[in-house]
Formats: sequence, C-alpha cells, structure tokens
Amino acid sequence: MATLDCSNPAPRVNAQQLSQFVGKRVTLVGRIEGVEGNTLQLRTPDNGVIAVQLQNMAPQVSLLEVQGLVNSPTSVTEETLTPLSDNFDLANYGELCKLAHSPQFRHMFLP
Amino acid sequence: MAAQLTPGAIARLVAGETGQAVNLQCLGIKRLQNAQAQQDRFRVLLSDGEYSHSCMLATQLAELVHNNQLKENSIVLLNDYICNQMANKKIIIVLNLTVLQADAAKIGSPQHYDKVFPNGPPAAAAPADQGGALGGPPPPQQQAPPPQQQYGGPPQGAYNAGGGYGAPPQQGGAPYGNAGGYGAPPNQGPNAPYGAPPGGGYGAPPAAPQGGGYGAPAAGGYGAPPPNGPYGGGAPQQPPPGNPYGAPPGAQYRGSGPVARNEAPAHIMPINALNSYQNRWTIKARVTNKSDIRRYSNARGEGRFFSFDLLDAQGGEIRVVGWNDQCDRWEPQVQQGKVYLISKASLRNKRGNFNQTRHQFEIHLENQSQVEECVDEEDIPQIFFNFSKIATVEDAPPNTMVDIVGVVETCQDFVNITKRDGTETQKRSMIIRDDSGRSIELTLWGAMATGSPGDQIMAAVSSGYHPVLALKNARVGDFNGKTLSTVGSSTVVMDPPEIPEAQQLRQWYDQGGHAQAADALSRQGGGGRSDRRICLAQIKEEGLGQGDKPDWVAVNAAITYLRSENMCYPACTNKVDGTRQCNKKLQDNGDGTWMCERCGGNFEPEYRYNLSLTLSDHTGETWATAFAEQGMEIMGNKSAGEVKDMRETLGDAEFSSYMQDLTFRHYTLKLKVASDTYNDEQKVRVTVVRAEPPNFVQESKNLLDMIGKLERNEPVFAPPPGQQQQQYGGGGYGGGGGYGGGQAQWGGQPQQNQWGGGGQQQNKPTTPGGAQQVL
Repeated sequence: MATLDCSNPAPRVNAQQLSQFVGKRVTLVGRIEGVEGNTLQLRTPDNGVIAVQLQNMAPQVSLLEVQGLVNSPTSVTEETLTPLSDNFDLANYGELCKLAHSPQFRHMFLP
Repeated sequence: MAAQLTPGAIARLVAGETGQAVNLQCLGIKRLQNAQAQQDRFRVLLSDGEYSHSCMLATQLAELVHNNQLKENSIVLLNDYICNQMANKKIIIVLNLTVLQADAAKIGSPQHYDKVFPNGPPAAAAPADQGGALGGPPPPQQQAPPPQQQYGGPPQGAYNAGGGYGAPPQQGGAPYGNAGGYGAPPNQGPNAPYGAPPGGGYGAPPAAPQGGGYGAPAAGGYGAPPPNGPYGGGAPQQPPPGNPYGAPPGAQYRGSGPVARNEAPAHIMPINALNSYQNRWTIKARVTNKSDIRRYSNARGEGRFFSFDLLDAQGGEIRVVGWNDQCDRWEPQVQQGKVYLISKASLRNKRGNFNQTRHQFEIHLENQSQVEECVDEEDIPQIFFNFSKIATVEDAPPNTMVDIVGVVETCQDFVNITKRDGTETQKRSMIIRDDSGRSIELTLWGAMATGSPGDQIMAAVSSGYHPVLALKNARVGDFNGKTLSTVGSSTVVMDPPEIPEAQQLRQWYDQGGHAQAADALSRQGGGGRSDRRICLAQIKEEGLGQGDKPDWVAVNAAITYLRSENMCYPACTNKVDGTRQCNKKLQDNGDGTWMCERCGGNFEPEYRYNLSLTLSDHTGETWATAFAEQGMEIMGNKSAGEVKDMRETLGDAEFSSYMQDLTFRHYTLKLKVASDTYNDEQKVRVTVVRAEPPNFVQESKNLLDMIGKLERNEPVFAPPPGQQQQQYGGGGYGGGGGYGGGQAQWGGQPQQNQWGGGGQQQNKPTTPGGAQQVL
C-alpha cells in the first residue's frame, strides 16, 4: 500500500501567509473576483486579492480551490483547480487557516 | 422676546372653555404618587399672571417633565385641555402643550383662583370687579346642562334671552341649584315638581313670560348689583331664593342640578388623551387586531372574554376588553379593520402581562357602552408601527413588545411542536437583521409559521430573495441570547409597500448593506439550539438524568446499532379531546380488530416507531429510544408502517442490509435524559427528541468556538452556570415522556394573551416562563 506522499505538501494558506511560501506549493480557497485573459483574481477569506495565473479553464463558479506555486506574495501559478459549491463557508475556512498557522497548532498541519 | 401670557385665561379655563390655545406660566410641578399607575402623573400650577390654577398633565406629557423641558416658570402654550367637575373642584387636564420658553422669570404675583373665588367665578360674587368681564367668560359648556333638559317645558329662547343665566358658569349653576326644584334630577321628567305647565309652579306665567321673568331681572340682575330679585340675589348656595317657588325639599338641591348628565355626544378624543379624570369620552379608532373568544375558569367560576386593539388617527393605541355578556354582545359585531366610535366604557389600568399596547389604560366594555361602526375613515391608518432598531432589543427586558423592521437573512422550515396540553402548533424560525449592525432570531408561531406570511418568506428566501418584514408587537425573549417571537396580537407584513422605514431598509440592503457584518443577538446551535452540547461519556460521568427533572442535551453522534425487533407498535388512532391522537398501544383482539385500554373500545391501529438504538461518539456510547418523527428521520424518511411492510415482504438478508445502511450515519441529536422506574428498578433512559443531519457550517463554527474556549482555558462542555435551572425549570416540558404524542412534550407556544379571569390572575400553570424559555 502506498504511503501518503508528504514530500511536497501544499499547505492551506491565506493571503497573509503567502509571503512565507514564495517558491513553494500552496492551496488557496477564495471567491472569484474576476477573470482577465489567463489571470484570475481570487479574494481570500482574509480579504486579500491574489492574481492566479491559470493553466486550465476557469470554471463558472464563485468559489474555487487553487493549488499552485507561489510567485510572489500576491501571485500564484495554478496547477490544479477545484470548483466549490456555494454551500461553503469561507469564514470558517479562514479561521481554519488562521489556526493552522498559529504557533500552537502549526505542528499539526505543517511539516 | 419673552412670551406673553394670555390675560384672563385661567378664568376661562375654569369656566370650562376649551378649544382656544392660551399662553400660561408653569409655577410649580408636583409628582403624584399612585401605586397602581405604572406611569408618573404630574400636577402643575399654571398662571396667567393674575390667577393660577392647578392642572393635571395627561400622562403622555410626563415625558416633558422627565426630560426637563417643562419646569418651574416655563412658559407654555396650552393647545388642548379639558375641564372636569370632580366633587367640588374643577380639574383641568392638559392634553397637549408646547413649551414656549423653558426658563423664565415669574410673571406677576398670581393668586390661586380657587382661593379668591372659592365658590366659583366672580360674576355675582364680585360683580363690581367683573362687571365688565361678564361678557368675557363664555357660556358654560359642561356645567350647565342644556336648559330644556332640566326644565323641560320652557323654550330655550326664554333662557337665553335672560343671558344672565348662561353667562357665569358656576353662578349659573348656583341659582339653578338653589331653586333646586328646577330640575334637579333631570331624568325625573321635566316638570315633576312644577306641574304640567312649565313654570307653572312659579306662578303661572307660561314659557314666554317666564322667559321674560327670568330674563329681565337677570339681564340686569346678574350683570349688575346682586340683590336684584331672588335670582341673582342670594349669595350662591343659599337656598332661600328657591323657596318662593315652592321648591321641593333640600334633598334635591345638593349639587344635583348642574352635575346632571350631559347626554350630548362628547367630542372625539385622541386615544392618547384618555385619562382617568374624564369618564365622558368618545374615541374613533380602527380595530387593528381582534382576539378570539377566550375562556377561563377560576375560583369565581367560568367566564369568557374577547379583546381588540384600537388605533386612531393620531397614532394612539389602546386595547378594549369585553367580558362575558359584553363579549357575547360585541364579539360578533366588532370586525377587524373597521372603524368604530366607542364611548361610555370604563378605563382601567392595563395589566401589562396580557396587554402589550403602549397605553397606560385599557377599556372595559360595560352595559351602557356604545360601539358604533363608522364609514371607513381614510385618515386612520390600518396599522401603526413604532419601529425600534434591532440593536435596541439587546438591552430590552424580556417580554417587552417591540415593532421591528428587518431583512430576512435565513429562514428555516416550520416544525411541529406539541404543547403541554397535548395540542400541536407550528413554529418557524428565521434570522432578520437591520442597519443597526445586529441580527436576531424571529420565531413565527401557529398559522403565521405555516401559512401567510411564513410560507411566502420561506419561498422568497429559498429563491435567493431577502424580503423585508415589518413586525408589530413582537415579543422579546431572553432565553437564547435575545430573540423575537410573535404572540396573538402580533402582525407580520412581508415587503410592506407603504412603510418608508421598510423601503429605506430595502435600499440599504440592496446597496451593499447585505455585505456588512451583523452581530447576532440570538445564539444558534445546529440541532441543539441552546441545549447544552455534550459528549456521550458525560451522561454517565455527570449522572445526567438522575435528578428530579430530565436533562436536555445535544450531541453529535453516529447511530452504531439499530435494533430490528419491535421497531414499532400499533397505536390507537382515537382522537382524545377531539384533536389529539391517543397513541396508546393497542391490544390485538386476534380477529383483525384492536382494542385500546385507555379509550375503552376498538380502534384502527397506526404503526408508530419505538426504536432502540445505540449512539456513539469519540467518548462513549449510550442506548437511546426514538419515536415517531425522530424515527422517520433515522429510518430514512420511511414511516413505521412502510418499514413494517418491508420487514414482512423483504427477505431477512435484504432487510438487514437496509438496516445496515442506516447505521454509522452522523446526526446532531437532541436528547432527553431522564430516570425511569421499571420493575422497581431505576434506569436512566435516553430519548431522542430531535435528529437532524449535521449542519457542517454550523458545526464548524461550534468547533471553532470550542477551540477558542480551549485556548482561553475555559471549560468547553461545562453547563452554562445558573442556566440549567432556568432552562428546564418551571416544568415547561411537562412529564409524560415522549410516548404520548410521539414527540417530546415541549413547553409550548409562547403564551398568547392568556388573560386572567375577571381581573384575577389566571391560575393556569402554563405560564410563559418555562415554556418560552425552553424554546
């Protein structure tokens, strides 16, 4: 049985934490603010706007999960996209990110 | 420029003149103590610079004193006032005044009018003084009843010709009274003492000459020197002048004349001006809400009553109550929405528990009361709102009644609730918010929950539209944070077209208000609402359910085992009390018929769940029982009858795989944990009173909340201090377990105007306390 590949994790982050992950893979969730060409503006639960460079077609939804490489604290190059239903509570997710990066709980989420 | 006082105003006020606005100075304010009244009343000493007189402020003016707008030496404009004769005093009630100048110096050195003229206005008592002034005081309006009423015969002209009679009010009364026989008891037939020809008793001259007789001397007599003839002459209140006329004995004298009833219709008063000093009033108002007939029984026997709420053109509101005979008489006639003239009913201090109108009094209909329908008056609104912001509800004490306009954020489906008396009702909860940055839970009850407007609201919210609701008379509850619920007299209007506040809110919401954060005044919990959230192990650890009262808790748990034997029982479908199903287990007679021991007869069976199951969470597990509706939820929305059929038609393997599928599903459950004695053995019995699939968004919030508590070193699963007792005390849940109704016996609908009987407190134990708190 294959073991879980933890070598290249994509931790869940918010706009605030993006600067600590430049050059690394992350997972972002947010609301689509708009798409122009292959750049998608994603508003994260902590109210940051991140420019996502798309490799795939943007789905017609309002909430989206993006995995990708962090280029800069405000831009990410997408690798995979997951559309989310509207029945998703961004505020709760934002709190999760906050807790996952808090000193007490960090060890449970990040290698 | 300093305001001027109106000269001679006090004399005119005391004379009963109304209708003309006058400027007066307030020389003093005295608070009146009255244990019964809930509001302060004030007596003010008003001066026109020459004379002063004590006047009562109508209760709605007390505010002016409270906020210090009206104080000593303030100069005021009396817009509306009335003069009442009370015993021997003239009481002037100020219905409406404007403070022209709050701070002023005392003007003149006024004397108390009553002291200067203890027996009335100065016309005769001080003729010299007032010789010229006589023209001033207008004819008495209230004191002297229309002459023909007292005298019967003589044409009014005869008296009017006299002039003198009409002029000085009290004086006018005095001679009448002195004459005593003139008419003292007006209802005795006009001329009883005088014999048939009017004035005959006076010495023959019939009407016209009599007029002359009175009039002539009066014209001079009153205006000028006193001792001019028997009429004007005598000092007031001395009977002799009457005697020459053969007046009847003194008994008839006393004050009876002038105080006689004035049967003329009183002018229409604003509801807000109704006061206990005046019992002759007529109000014109629209019925905004009418109750059903309510019955009560208490130590004094049984009775019934109904009530309706009135609204008049000035926005005044008051409740009218009719007991027993009056209930029978008026209930069929009074219709909601129509406008009526109401008079000759009594005013009583309202009982705040039952009456949520803002008026200090309520009106009780009596035998002689009149309620006349008028053609619809456009100037009386159909409904009058006095909106508060939701933020103000935060500080409102429980049971306050408020009018709120709010946008519906979310709306839940209605749920059935079994009240303590076994009857069912429905409630529907929703969250509303306004531009004060707060949101609150609103619960609609009964027909409002299921029909209009509950259904429309639900439909609108499900389609993504957020309607504006205007609520009138919503009751503030403090059970679950702060909540609002409807009562019998509540009105809920969805998207009211003609209410500016509603339109403003609509605009605010549509133009970005919906995106603003709102603090919730009501706590929310997915399944458990306010019920304490626990882990299953706590049932044993804390010995829940071993007290006198059941414990009510909420858990997140999975069903790990469902017993497939005896899942349901044949229940009696007989209607007890006409509405409520008996539901007791029927005995099989063996011939296709079923017998109910309680109802004593054969009845058709209906299969109802009696599920045994185990619940598990990460801390432990427990046996539990689930009945009718909770059973449906757990059994995949199949009725007990259907599952029984499946069991009989499907093979064992197939049926057990169906049952397997139902296990290891997660629910948010509300449990009743109580002691049960069975075969002399005491056991803790856990009953599922609500089962819902978990609301993940809400549960995530709960978890975040718990993590926050952990971080702050606060207990996570501890009972809220002091709340336990409050929640479950008062017997709101009633005993009886879940068997009877197949549902938990909830506390019941918040009390809807449960009036007591005949002024006594009702003895029903169904106080709203327990019930409402539970919900």
